[in-house]
Amino acid sequence: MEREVFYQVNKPIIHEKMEDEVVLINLQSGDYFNMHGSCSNIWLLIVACASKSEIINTLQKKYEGESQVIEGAVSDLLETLEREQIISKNFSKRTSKFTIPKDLFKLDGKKQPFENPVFNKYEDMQDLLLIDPIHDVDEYGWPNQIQADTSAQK
Amino acid sequence: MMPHSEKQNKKPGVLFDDAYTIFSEAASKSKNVIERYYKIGAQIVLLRFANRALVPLIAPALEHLRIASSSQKNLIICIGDSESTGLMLSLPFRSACDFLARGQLRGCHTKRYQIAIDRSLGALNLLDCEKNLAIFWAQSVNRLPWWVSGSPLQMLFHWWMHRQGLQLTHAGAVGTQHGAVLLAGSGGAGKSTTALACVTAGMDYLSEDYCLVRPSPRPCIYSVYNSAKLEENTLSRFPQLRKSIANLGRQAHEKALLFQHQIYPERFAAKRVIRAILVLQIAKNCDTHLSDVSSAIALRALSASTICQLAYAGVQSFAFLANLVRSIPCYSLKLGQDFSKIPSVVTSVINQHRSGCSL
Repeated sequence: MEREVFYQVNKPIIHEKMEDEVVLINLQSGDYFNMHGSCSNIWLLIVACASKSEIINTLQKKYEGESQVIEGAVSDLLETLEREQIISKNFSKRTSKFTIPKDLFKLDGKKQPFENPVFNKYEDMQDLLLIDPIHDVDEYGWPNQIQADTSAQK
Repeated sequence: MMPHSEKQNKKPGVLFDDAYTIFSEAASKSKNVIERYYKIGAQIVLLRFANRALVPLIAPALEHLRIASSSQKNLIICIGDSESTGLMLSLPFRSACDFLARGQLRGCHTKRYQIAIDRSLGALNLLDCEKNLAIFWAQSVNRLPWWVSGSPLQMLFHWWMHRQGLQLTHAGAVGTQHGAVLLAGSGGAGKSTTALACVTAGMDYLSEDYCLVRPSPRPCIYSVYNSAKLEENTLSRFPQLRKSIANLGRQAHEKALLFQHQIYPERFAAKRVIRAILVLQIAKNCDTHLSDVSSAIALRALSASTICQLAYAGVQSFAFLANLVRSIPCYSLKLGQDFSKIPSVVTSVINQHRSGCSL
């Protein structure tokens, strides 16, 4: 039987939950991401080290919807998050059993209709972040540079 | 000057001590050390210039917070440049992979030290948190871009103030005696226009670009810079300000730089309680009006450019701003064509959320 894989949040990613949304930043690329509704709940489960099947099972307790639809939505989102380098698979053995983060993820017995995850990406900060990496320091060290600078306008 | 025969990645403490030695030598040589005291975010900051060269570029934006000399000094920033002092301050050779985004240097962010290069300025920033001592060293005055006068020493203020529970934040701020609002949005969202519309209408001015915020015990804004950087189309709406432009000989790509303290000295506020965050958006086809906005959008508007522009700003700054956003009301302020309506809308928000307690 194949070992269940769970996911880890990649290092340059920082995130905050704001009401029913989650905001993420990739500190390396400057990309911003925003998650609503079921997407933000899936994220909370990822952060709690749930495997894919545990995510699906937990969502099925919270949402009303066809199993295939929920499974497909989770698979698509995990694939998107991996492609955006927000998460990666963690193949090491999980040190503790997964438990639903009750303070963030309420299962109050009443199921809500499942809606497809909403995941948005914003790239307008990239130019700001990438304005000053240094690639052209010569053997004398900074501030000696191989090519002349052009001043950046703020 | 000989290249190093092998890579030398000095520890941050050694780098800091070397830099301070250079500054001390420069100060000793010049016999014209200039000291200025400021009260910023309730902290007494001493700027110690090795000579006069950088004073005209750095001092004006902070002038509204200047105080007489003080026996108490919470932070000392030593300021100099290689050209006017004749002393070179450089980092020993480091491989390209040691330089990270935003000028950060690998291994130079410790509990005690922070070191980064602001490449857009060509300047080195170093902070020793145990000694509360910092160094800003530029290559030359002429290499500094026009906008450094608008928000000088930004990196050092960010690092040190964060450790005092304050976050340097990319936001405008205006207010009344009953409090203030943060004006959030990236470049072009309308922060300058909104701040100017309010201050020309008689409201208090705290910031156009960067300010300090503290989320607790009561969310507060502290003024840092009294500068404003305006595009021509913004300036055309406020023609009375043209005579106060500080960089009259500016080039076409440079914004007009003004120091509001020189124009409206009586309208400055050093500190105000935050009553709301206004996420700005230009709306061409409607009047200026408020609408609800999610806290997630407010967080993005407030944190996006803050974190992307400040070295070593990361998870702590993000959490800091998230806590701030959670604790105060957030609105979207759509800016219509008639800017004269902006001050009344902003004032109504402040009055709606005032608690009756004023500073």
